[in-house]
Amino acid sequence: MSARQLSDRIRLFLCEQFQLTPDQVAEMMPNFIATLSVHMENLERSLAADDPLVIGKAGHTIKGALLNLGLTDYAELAYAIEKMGKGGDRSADYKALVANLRRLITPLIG
Amino acid sequence: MLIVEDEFISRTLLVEILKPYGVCHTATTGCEAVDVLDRAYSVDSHYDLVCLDIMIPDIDGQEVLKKIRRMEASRGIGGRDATRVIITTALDDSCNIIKAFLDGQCDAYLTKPIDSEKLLSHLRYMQLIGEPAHGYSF
Repeated sequence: MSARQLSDRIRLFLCEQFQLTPDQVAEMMPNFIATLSVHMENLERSLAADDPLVIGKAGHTIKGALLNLGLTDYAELAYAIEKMGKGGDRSADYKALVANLRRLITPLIG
Repeated sequence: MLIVEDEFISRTLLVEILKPYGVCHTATTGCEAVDVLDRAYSVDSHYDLVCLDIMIPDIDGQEVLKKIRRMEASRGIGGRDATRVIITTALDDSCNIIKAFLDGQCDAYLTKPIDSEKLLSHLRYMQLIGEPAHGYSF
């Protein structure tokens, strides 16, 4: 999905879900995108800890943000990371999962 | 109203939904929430509504909820004067939701993505705001 498509999808969702005006959404969008970028960086940084619980927690945070932006399909991937992390799963390929999420949202956050 | 949420996007959206109905204060950690609530009680005031995320830093939402009820009990606050607490949490969090109802006596819960209509209908049911046609009562 292109940056424009993703951005339009979020704008539409925010207007419908939260009864916000297009102007309100336009004002919020830059901060929301920047926040999503920070959550993604934190998730990537959490890989270095080599602790599934830390990764799971970072997955949980970005999942909540993605859900509230209407990116439910991406939130499912974050949820998978969260679930495995919180379950203490050491066999999961977190690096690949996180890289996949990064690939999906890169058009949006750059 | 007090919104306890550590995630910026969720917090901002909750403020946007609720600010037409009254002053919205925010806290981003459990400790901060308890401090804010305690300060309100210390001046014989209290929040009508707390929107409380479960997974927050320092003290989790379950513990904050218990502290709210303990602070109320120690001051003889209850019934209609009690703070209404709405748990905001993720879709998969049924254990936490049940625990919040049983142990902490929350009044309602909302899953993310937050549904503004559902949130407002909870507030109407709790008589914290009026029906849409009649404006609001804060």
